[in-house]
Amino acid sequence: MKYVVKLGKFKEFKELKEEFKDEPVKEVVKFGGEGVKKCIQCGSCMSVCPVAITGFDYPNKKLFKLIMLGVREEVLQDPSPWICVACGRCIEVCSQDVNPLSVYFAFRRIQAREFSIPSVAEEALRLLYETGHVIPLTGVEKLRKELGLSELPKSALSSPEDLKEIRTILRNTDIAELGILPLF
Amino acid sequence: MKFGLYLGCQIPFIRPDLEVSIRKTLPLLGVKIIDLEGYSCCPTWVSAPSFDEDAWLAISARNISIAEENGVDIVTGCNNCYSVLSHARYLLKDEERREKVNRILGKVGRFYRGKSKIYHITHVLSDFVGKKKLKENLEYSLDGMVVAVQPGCHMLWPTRIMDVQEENPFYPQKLKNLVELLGAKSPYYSRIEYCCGAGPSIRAIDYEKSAYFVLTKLMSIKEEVDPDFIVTGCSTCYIQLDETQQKLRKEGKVGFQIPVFYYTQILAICMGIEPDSVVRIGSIPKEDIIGRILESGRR
Repeated sequence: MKYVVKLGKFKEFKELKEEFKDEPVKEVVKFGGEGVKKCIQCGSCMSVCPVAITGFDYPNKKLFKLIMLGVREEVLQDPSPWICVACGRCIEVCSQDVNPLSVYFAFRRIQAREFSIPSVAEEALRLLYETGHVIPLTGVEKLRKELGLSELPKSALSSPEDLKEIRTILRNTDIAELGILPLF
Repeated sequence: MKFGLYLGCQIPFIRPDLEVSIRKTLPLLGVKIIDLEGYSCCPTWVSAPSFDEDAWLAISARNISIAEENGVDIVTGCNNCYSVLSHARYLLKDEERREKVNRILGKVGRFYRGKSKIYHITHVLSDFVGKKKLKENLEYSLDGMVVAVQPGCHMLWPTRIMDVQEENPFYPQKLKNLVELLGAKSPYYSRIEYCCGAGPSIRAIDYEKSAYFVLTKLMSIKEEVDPDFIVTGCSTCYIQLDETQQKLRKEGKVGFQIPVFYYTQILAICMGIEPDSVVRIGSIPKEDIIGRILESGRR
């Protein structure tokens, strides 16, 4: 039964005022998921999605249905949109060119603005700002040297000027408003 | 033939032996590689792209602009970098997005033109180096061996964003052909394009579910192919299938072990490059396979 998409028990359905019904759609469009309006609920995306069958509560087409119904709050705290592995199968098979991946990511961006962020994502963003990479260095320098490589890759990690560019870029986007980036 | 080598984070930080295998094989095959100095994380899906589209596209555009300054296309060995940069390049064909991104890049003195293309190392080997050149450089053969291939999701979909495409990404051929070129047999199995479960965040959010992918995949491989080893085109799949396989063995869920190689590792060994320099870190032992290749495989 866990793979069956059931709708219905949301308290929001009752309270949802007609004039606010389009708000979640507009919000998703604003954050890069403009295709959501075209979804016809055919389920192609779910049939190829590697994570749809793992038992998370809001697999792709179910999330899209809720957005179109104007429901937002119920999903806001749910980790489902963060499970997407960005494999791109759904984009390939979607007959209506929804770009389901982009809707998932748009919803993540909305969640991020409501502070519903898994720690792994927050840490990744912080590391990107601090080091230019999302994977921390854990003593690999010695092995790299032994293998005949430079101790550090020739990236922003070993170049303060380039790292400063990454920080300036992030500071000049809406990410700066999220309260995640370090103050320095 | 010259490419800008975009290493990303995972290969240089976690599996530098893969970096060695790339750096040693490509030049011998006539591919000159230059480092994209000052690059940063692509940025991976779970970082900037999950928070803000402009930030994602600006950082990807900055990375691509370094290749543009050097007048080269990009080659990457990491499927995640390949997909993030390819998606960014595709979105940046939209003029409005490109202008917005260039306004941000202007603050750090850079400019994105969209000239450099993004290739995966599998594409460079199969479509640029080609069969003839590869064969000329082989010293050992995988004759008589059976290999299960795992190309990895991110170099297969969506085809529209890619400059080199599989005819049918649900039946991927490129990695299989590259493996068979080394002399091995690489039969089809039903979960050949199945995800390894090591997506950017699923592994951190729910390890059990992530490990289930590996279990399903390994069972399918064992039953349908029963290979000598697995070859991946993706560094993330490589780590996931190797490390999680070992964990599943310890948990008693898998009673066999199948060594895992990244394509340029096995290519390097077949080209006569010292195995110790290209195979250094891992969970499931590979020595047996390497020994068998070196003992009986000389062409």
